[in-house]
Amino acid sequence: MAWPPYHLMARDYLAEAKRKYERLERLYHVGHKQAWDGKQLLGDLLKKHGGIRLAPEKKKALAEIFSTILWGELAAWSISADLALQIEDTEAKMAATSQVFDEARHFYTLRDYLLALDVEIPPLDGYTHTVLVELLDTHRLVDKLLGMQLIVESVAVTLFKTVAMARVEPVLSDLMPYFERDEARHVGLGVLYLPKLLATLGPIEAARLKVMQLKIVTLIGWGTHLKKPYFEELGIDNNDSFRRGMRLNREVMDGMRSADREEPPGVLLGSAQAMRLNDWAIDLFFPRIGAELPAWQRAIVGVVDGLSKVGDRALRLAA
Amino acid sequence: MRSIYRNVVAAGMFLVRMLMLGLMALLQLTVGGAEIRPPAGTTA
Repeated sequence: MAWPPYHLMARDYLAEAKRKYERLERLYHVGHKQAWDGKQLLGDLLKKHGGIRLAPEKKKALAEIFSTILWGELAAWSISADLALQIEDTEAKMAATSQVFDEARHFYTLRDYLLALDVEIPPLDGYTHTVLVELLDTHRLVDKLLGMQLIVESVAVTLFKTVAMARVEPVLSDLMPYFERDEARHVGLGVLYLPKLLATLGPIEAARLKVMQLKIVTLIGWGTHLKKPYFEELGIDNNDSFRRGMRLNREVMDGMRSADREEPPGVLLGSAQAMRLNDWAIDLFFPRIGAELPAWQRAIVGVVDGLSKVGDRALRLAA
Repeated sequence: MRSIYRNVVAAGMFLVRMLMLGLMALLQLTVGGAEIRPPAGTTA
């Protein structure tokens, strides 16, 4: 590719880009306006709530769940930097660049919070490790955008909202809305820019992308089984979380549809059949906390929980 | 090599999950008893 890209200064190109990507450029400016100081915010919250006071078993459960988030933020930092480097359109490049700053802030704020929590941070589970390493290693822009911006960031938005609502620990609950607001912008980058990339996909590439999404969603599902005892310890209902995630996913998909309501090619989660299957899977695999289960469901969910440990060990061998 | 190994394990985990889901769906349709709530997009 010839450099510099002189077309970026051509007036007809600029007019077209402004028409198509004005909202992407706005993500950059909004990100700049809404930037917050993680050091100051965390310090203020710790002072306001008199530090972190939590029973040791709850601290352990928080560390188990937030170690995943911590390393996820580090991966998102690198991946958004990759996006800023690879994307050619100025407006999308600006949005990705803004995300790099957000993710750096998320990482150091969460690191400082976990240090203040004063508990041993467990190593990353095999499922999350696999998802993050594959997104870090791929050179495909579309894989990074679809995998990180739409799936992983959507899971993060849902988790931040759930943790804030559960009021597990007041400092964390007050911190989460700041993370959530930033992550919603990151999902926006995927929603606004992906349709352009997906529109050029051939059938083989579209099928490959669907397999990749299926893999990520499968690994997230197993990973949630693995962490179930810790979610339960914190009073977080995975059934509610997954349902909230599904609603967010539907909103995201609606945002990506063309003017005639067609889904972009290569996206797995948007079809009505897939949504119905997901609804059943959520209720059968992740029954509500306190729901009365038939014996067969209790037995099978117990087997699945046990198998999640086997899969974790198998994937850790490749870590 | 690691990537191939991860793909094989992930494919196996997908297969097991689908088998478990199929089994549970079958039991729900025949024996019943599990709570199936309205679609996620229609609840508050």
